[in-house]
Amino acid sequence: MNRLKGKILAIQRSGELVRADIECADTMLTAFVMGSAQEGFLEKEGSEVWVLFKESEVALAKDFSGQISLRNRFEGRIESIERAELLAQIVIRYGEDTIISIISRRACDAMELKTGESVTALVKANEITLMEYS
Amino acid sequence: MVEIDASKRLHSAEDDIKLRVSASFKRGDFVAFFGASGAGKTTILRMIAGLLRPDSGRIAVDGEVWFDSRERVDLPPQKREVGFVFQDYALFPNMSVEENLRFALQKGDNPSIVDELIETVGLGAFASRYPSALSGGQRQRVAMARALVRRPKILLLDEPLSALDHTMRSKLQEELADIHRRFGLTTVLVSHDPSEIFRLCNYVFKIEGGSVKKEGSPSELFVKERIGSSFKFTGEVLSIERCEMVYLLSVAIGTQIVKIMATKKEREGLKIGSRIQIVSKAFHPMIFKIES
Repeated sequence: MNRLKGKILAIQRSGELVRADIECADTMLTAFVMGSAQEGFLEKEGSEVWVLFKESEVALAKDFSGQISLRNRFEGRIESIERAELLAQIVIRYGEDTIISIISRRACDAMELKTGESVTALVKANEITLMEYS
Repeated sequence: MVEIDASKRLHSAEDDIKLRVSASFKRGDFVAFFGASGAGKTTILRMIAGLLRPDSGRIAVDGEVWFDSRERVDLPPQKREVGFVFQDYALFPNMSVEENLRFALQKGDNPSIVDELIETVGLGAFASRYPSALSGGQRQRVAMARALVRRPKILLLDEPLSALDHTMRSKLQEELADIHRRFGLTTVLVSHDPSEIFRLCNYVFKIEGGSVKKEGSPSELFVKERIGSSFKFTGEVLSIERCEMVYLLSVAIGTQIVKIMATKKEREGLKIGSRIQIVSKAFHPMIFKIES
């Protein structure tokens, strides 16, 4: 799974549903989580958290424009590409971290992704898990 | 309230350890003493039962003192109102199921409890059988029933299910939970199996090097990382297969085996038999109603 360090900027609750705005390097992220009372670390705005998401949940865009509902966008540069028969794994340099995306080989070929290229990694807000930073 | 504060010097094959246990829990609790073998867990049960005398300390149950080294109180086992279930069942081989239970009766006890307990553990049809004619699971049910004959306040379970296969184990775990509730018991389990403790217990004492190192609810103790998600399962890795740049893990969760995709990083450090925690968000599961 991808693991980035972030900081909680704001928490909005509606019943059990929690929307967390998180600052992660120079990117603003939104995460939707179900928050029960025991997850006290969500309460403190300003507290540091781990932002977790699975590689297979990371979509990629190139020359990205237009409107899209995905709010979580990481602008980075492709560091390496590994192509297999059905899958492709793309490692993206994002500041001091790397973000890994596993997409279909077909999409990777169709987008003609190359090492060194700029891409946008996209993650849906409900695919992000938050973990107490320790 | 059960209060235990007991010290005992133990001599083991490797070295001498000083057991110093301080633990208290409420009536009706189902607690576990968890730790590696040789940590002194069984010794704690034996001290509660009165089978082993602490060097010093105090053991009290609901305000009644069972042991107090300073007051020189040391109730004998038969006065302590405990039921003990051992890993190896410890049934009398020359007695039938019913006779094994009757043997536990004391003068003045109502003998009808024997039939009642045999029915409770579902062994009505086997009452006249000898232990050798029973399966491991049935033998352990007899041992459980026998431990309840004297209507104990505390049921002590020393790795009671570790000799059984997985399916039988989870079945008996359910029965244990049921017995605990039905008889309003306070139950103390010794176990080294976190998933068993998760299923049964509401409180855990982690024993390490002869003392309680940590205590809390099973999830507080076994779930190191606090994750803001809703689905957490503990499982055991059965196989690891490589598939392109990812891995497929077969994982046993309870009685189910599921395949899970793991990335190279997630696979690192895992081997067959590794225990893992699987987390999924509340948004993921698709729900299908089962038509009855």
